[in-house]
Amino acid sequence: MNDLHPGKLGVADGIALVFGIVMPRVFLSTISNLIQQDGPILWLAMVIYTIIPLIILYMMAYVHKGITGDIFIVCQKLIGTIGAWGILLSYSIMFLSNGALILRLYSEYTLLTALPRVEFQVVIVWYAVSAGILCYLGIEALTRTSYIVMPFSIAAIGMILLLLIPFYIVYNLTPWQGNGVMQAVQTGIKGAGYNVGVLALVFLAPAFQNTRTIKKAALYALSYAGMLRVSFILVYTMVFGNAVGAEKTMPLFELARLVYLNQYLQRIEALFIVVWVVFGLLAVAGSLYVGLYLLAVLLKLPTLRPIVPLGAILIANLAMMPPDIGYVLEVDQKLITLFDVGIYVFPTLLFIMAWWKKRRGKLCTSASS
Amino acid sequence: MGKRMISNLITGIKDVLVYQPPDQPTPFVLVEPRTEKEEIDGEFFPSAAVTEGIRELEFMINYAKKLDTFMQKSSKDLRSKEKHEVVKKIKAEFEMIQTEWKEIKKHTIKNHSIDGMYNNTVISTDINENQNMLESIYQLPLNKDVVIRSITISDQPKIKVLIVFMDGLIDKKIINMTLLEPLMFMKNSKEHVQGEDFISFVMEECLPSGQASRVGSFREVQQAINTGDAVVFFDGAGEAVTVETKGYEHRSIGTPTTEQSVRGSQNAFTEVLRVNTALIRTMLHASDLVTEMIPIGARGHSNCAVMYIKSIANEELVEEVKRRVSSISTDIITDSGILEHFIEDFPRNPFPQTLSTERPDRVAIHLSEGRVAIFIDGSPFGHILPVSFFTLMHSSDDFSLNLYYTNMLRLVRWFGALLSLLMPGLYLAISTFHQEAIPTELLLSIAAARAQVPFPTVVEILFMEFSFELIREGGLRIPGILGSTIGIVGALILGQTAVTAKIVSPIMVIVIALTGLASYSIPDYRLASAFRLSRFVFVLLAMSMGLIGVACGFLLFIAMLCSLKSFGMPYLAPLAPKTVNGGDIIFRSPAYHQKRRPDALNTKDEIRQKNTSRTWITDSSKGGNDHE
Repeated sequence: MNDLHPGKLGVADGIALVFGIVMPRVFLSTISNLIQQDGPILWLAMVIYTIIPLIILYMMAYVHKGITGDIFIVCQKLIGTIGAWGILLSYSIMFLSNGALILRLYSEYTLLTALPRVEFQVVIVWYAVSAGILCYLGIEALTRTSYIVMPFSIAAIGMILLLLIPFYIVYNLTPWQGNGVMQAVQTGIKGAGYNVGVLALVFLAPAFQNTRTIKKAALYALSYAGMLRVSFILVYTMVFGNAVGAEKTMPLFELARLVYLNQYLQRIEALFIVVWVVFGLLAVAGSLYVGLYLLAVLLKLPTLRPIVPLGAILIANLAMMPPDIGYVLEVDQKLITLFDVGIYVFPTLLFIMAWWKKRRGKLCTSASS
Repeated sequence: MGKRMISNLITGIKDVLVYQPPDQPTPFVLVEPRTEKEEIDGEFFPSAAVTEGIRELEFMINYAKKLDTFMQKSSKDLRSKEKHEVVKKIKAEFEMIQTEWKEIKKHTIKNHSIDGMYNNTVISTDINENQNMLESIYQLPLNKDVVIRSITISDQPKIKVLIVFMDGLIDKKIINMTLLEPLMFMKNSKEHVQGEDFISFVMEECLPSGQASRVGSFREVQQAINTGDAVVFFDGAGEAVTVETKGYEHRSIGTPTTEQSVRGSQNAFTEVLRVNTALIRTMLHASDLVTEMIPIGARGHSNCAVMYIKSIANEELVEEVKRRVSSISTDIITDSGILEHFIEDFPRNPFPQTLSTERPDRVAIHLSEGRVAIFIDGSPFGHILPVSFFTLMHSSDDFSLNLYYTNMLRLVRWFGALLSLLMPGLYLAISTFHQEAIPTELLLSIAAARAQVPFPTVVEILFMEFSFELIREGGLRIPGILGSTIGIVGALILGQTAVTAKIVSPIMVIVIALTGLASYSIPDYRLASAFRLSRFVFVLLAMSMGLIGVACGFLLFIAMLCSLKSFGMPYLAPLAPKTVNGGDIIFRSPAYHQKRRPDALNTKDEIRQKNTSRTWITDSSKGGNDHE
């Protein structure tokens, strides 16, 4: 046990970490793009891209099972040092770029919804510093903070969805096939990469109590995230419909704007900025931590703290690079391919290698006996 | 004559015309003492103490060599030459050596006392040497507090005895009745006991004191004298006897002033350590309640009591507390707050990591949960550790009142804590950056009230907060009953006039007054102070980024609390990390439902009570025997 691997994280910590990383995209423009593509059956795509990462995680848990040590040792034993470097560096880039992208998207939406007169660089620096401090305090502080505030944030979103009952138009869910079941399945398979965050549990395995904890955490986190996503998409579709829904760039904000209870409770969207910030910040901090952790493992660093400021500066600079929000959304669309490699190719490769090695080991044992 | 007159006249005119400074004594200037380390040509020389130490050792070695040579020579002479002459010569030489030894001893005593720290020299068999040592340590006869009483006891042989005590710390009656009188009456006893057995005899037969013990070093002697005990030295014995004679003036047990309770116990700790430990014993009659005394402070020498229940408290925790307390290396600790700084995990963090209490009943409850309590001599507050954030939000009345009412009060407290932390920040953020969140009517009202105020909201907040803190601090310093009166009057007048003068808006007065009131709902004074301090940070964050700043700040605030630990126990346990709920976190369950001790304490015995703690419910017989 050291600074990197406290070995005390439990199921709640795991749930909070994964939920924090995979959830925020549902509040960004991703949903608007997908609803245009799939129509009212988008919920099915969400179900699929919740199930696939779960299978992948179980595969990775199998890979990790027979080999003790951190993820680098596991990869090194299966595919050699160069292969391990390649895979972990790719994952590190994935997490850091995911963090940078979420940072930019949340900063842009912060400008649009809350602070229109502020320069986006200032907001990016603000978020990056906050995420850096969260990472600096360590994985325990990060996950525990996450699971303390998450229930309140989820309850707030649930409340918005319930308060919109007067706006529900069930007919908007028809035709239920949308643009085709196969299209939804394809979107689900393609979009599974957005849930690459679930692999954080495998990478940080030595920080958790045992494999059962990891599996349980993944199951709960993805189930909760899936349920919230499906509910959110169903409500979004029912409220805005297919065509209008595709036009909205900030789904949660737009939904919150519709809430009207009485003359004293009519503009709650401004207060929901707090929820928005909490989700965004935890996602950025989580991605930054995992990305830096993988680098620390590769470079065999005893602690993560010295590289946290560097990581924060790195993602802040990356986030500032795209010239406008349109370009950011374009990059987001392209980045999914990289995430898909992370969710399909590497885990499958590692799983096959682990399975083959275990089989060969068994054969050798039976042959020698 | 005329010449003298002219001379006097000239002197007189000169005195009038020329300024003469008045005759004044030479002003006293506190000069910096010479540094011990002097640098000559870039080379450092050892300090005076080290040089003295080396010199002392050289003396001793030379003396030992001389003694060795003398002994060898004497033994040779005694074997070879005529005995009578040789003995004379040896006697003369021995006297010389003895004189030399006395000189060396005098020198070493002087050196040992120069730094004022405890002298660890062993007690000599020569009573005069012991007296010299004591005079040197206590700067006698300059120092008038220490009394050395010399008496002679027993007839055959006559034994010189020294009784040493600190005037003012002892009870003269005890000294007279239990020490001087029995020892002096010993003259009439015909006992002939000598050497080490003599001390045992005196302790067993002559000293009717509750506590008497043998000590062998001057360190122990000083510890006893400085805490109000008397020490008895006997000529010819290499040990002394300390007798408990404490009798200094102290405040009697009063009612708690900072943790008042409506229905709970009304006892509070005092400044005397032994009274405090006894108060806990009156509440907790456990045989395995251990009180360990650890001396702290090289000069001050305060006793620190570490209390725990052996069969419940985690051994590692107890060891760690004792390790931290005993490894404190400082001059003096006079207050429990100072002690806390020396032993807590994060001394730079404003959040309290121990529960400071003046109530014995709270200490007793927490000890029974498996925590450790520490007290220091001279402080009427004890520390309970480890604690979580939730423990600090509990009040002493919580278990004295009805379950539902207590839970409602706790909810009010938590709401108050949140208000105290966030209210000015939220008001600033919403009124400056997110006006759309405010209902239109309220917005218009705020805008109308603020229209004539020439300052931005943040200046208003800081001005009012500063005024509030000023009134609070001033109220504390004004003596007696005037304090609270002036505080209230000051707040009312200041608030009213500030609004009339249009320096602040009326709504700002409401915001700050509510915030101030809310901060008083936090039961722990130090926790309330930490919240007050954090509130300013939230105001600055709100000023910078509105609600975004407040949200980021709140997240980091929780993360900071999550990373805190109190003596190894997570500060937010049992919430983060999630552990077994003992039934007393934010809300409390009925006392009979709280079956387990707090899980995060990892106690030896986790179960507090049986599942069926109310056995009368399961008992089939209803009513008493009278009905049968």
